Amino acid sequence: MMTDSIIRDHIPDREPPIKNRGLFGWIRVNLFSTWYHSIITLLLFWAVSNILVFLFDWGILNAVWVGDSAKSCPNMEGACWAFITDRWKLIVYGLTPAESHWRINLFYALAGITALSFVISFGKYSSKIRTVFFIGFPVVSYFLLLGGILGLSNIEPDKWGGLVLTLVVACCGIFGSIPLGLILALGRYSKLPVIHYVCAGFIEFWRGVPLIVVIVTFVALLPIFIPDGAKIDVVVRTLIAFAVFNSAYMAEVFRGGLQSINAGQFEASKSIGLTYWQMMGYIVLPQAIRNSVPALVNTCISVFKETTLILLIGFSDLLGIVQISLEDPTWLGPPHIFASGYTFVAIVFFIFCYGVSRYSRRLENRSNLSNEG
Amino acid sequence: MQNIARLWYSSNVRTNFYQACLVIGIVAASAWVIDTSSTNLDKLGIKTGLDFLDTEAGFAISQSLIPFSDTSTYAEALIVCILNTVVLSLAAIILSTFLGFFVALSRLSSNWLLNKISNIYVEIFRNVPLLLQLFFWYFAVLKLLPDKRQSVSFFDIAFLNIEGLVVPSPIFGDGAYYVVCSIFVAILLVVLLYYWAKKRQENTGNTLPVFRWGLLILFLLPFIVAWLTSFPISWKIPVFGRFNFQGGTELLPEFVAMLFGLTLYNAAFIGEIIRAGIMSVNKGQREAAASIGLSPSQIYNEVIVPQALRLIIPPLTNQYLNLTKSTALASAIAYPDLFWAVNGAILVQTGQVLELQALTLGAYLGLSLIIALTMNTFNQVTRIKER
Repeated sequence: MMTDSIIRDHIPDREPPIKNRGLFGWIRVNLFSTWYHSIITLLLFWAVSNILVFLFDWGILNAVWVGDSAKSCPNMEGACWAFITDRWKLIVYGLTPAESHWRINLFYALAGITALSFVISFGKYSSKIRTVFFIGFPVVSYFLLLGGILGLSNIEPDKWGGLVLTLVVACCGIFGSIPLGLILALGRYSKLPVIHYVCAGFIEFWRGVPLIVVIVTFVALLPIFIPDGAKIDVVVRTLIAFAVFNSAYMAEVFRGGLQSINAGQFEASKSIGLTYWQMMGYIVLPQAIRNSVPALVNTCISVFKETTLILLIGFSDLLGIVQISLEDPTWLGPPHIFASGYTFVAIVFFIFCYGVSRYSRRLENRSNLSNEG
Repeated sequence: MQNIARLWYSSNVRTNFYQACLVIGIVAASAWVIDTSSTNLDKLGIKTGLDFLDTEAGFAISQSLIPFSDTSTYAEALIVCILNTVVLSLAAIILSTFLGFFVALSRLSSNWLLNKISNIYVEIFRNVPLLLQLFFWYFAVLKLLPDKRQSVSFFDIAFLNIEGLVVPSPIFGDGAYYVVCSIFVAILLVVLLYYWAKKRQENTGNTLPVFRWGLLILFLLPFIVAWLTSFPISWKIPVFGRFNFQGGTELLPEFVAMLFGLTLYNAAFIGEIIRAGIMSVNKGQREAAASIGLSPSQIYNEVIVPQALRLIIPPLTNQYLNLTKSTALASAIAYPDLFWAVNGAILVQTGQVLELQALTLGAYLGLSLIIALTMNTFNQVTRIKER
């Protein structure tokens, strides 16, 4: 007689040990698992609670919210948000004339909608809508910010300031460097030795020098290198420097994407008789670009953070305008006013960069899932 | 005609034609740039050539590692400022690597609070521009410090005040040379011990506690030499006299702010790099190592770290390069680094913008190259040799 050696009945799941159950169990496992973890937890708890209490006192309870000069904030114990509320127009609109503020508002709104269009899904129209925004936003913004058509008055680029200038430089850096970077990456990936070495040398050169030196080089040397170069606006020279410098980093991002493509894809496309550009355009690049999107977004974040460097050559971007206002005799005062100004700028940058990095992580997770599925 | 068409369809001819076009284009563009720039330079009346390097600079530099005075030349000023850049980068690289290591450990910790706090630290410091952080430390935090009389004291050894950080300075007596030499000898011995132990393990299977022995050699040998030469190296601890600190080395507040800002900013990135490297080692490796009976420290040293290093070093190299390049921001708070010198006093006095920009670009490229080469050598050493 045969005995059934396989137990087919499901043994009910056992409860976790009583020590590890519930809120107290969780605290025990995650905070007080050993004696040194207990010490670390208690020390950190003490430090964090002190810092939080300090931040609450400094930033909210003792803060000064309204005022018109450094005299309104004599007390070091509290933040001086009065500085921000006093100068917010300068920070948001720069030196653009008041009658064209609606254009700046529209620019902000467009930028926000463009960003949203990349986050929200529109079903099968998603990619079309995104393409429209991706191309339409720079074009519309160009005319909104510079004017000159449809009866819009001209705004000189040197009137831009604050958040507008930061966004303009960041957008130009990003939109300008992506196509250039793609070409460089293709060149570096090429098998033709001259093209390969020229592109590799170009990329490595810009990656080896600091951005601020590049900006200064472009601003100082373009007038010498190009006839009538001095007539190129300083803002434009800076934007060119941004685009060229970041194109080297974008090229490395795309190279990573290209390298992630299986050699079989190239061989298969060649064997069905596609030309180089057909192979790249229809088979390789669509996959390579999709694979490099997370790294691309991270590079965009660093471009955005690097826009602050332009204050070193005298532009008043978001940080620049705060710095100028802080050193202005009206607001020149004790260090806590500086701290308040910088904290405000830091919060703005944090919201932008952290938001975008969360988005990039979501993309990464989604592409991991689709690769596995 | 048909022959030409046939030539055109030969991929060899075509690719060479494209490449020749590129070369001709680049040569033509360079010639054009050189031509226009020489006419433009003539028009602007800017001198060219590197003769200015030998003339007297005539300005002061607030921090110099080699003797520098008003009568020194521009070349010497450049060297002083390059050294300042190098010192700042090296110090920041070392400190941020240490801090980054602890950040990575905290991020990997099972302690929920430690984990969350280090995560918040990383997110805050990574997502705020470096220049803003430098401004914050320099204009907001350092300016809060008391004056020299009420310096913040660290165990009465180092003193922090609004004019900078005062730290003890070493005094080298007779025979200090031997002690310094013995440190190098000890390092060499440890390296030899490492290779010998490895060879021994491969031959006999017996392991040596290299780490403990190495530590012992590293401390004991210099100590014995110092004892034999009756302790020639001593530390001069700064003491506040009537008006100023006596003894010790004073670090500029700009240096302190730069070091602080660069370290905190880059440690956030380095922490994430190290964490990602360790996390990427397959969980099965850990379990397999444990199941063949390796101790936790052996699992880490022999299995996890060698595999993680392979993934850590390339991005770490990039981070070091970024750090070195970002020292150029020091000029924003008037720390006398290379960019400050070239773009400030020297440019204003000589006006030779072309040569100076070329020198700056060259110097930074050189620094980047040195770091890249060093790290690549290290990468070669740590790379897993696949058979």
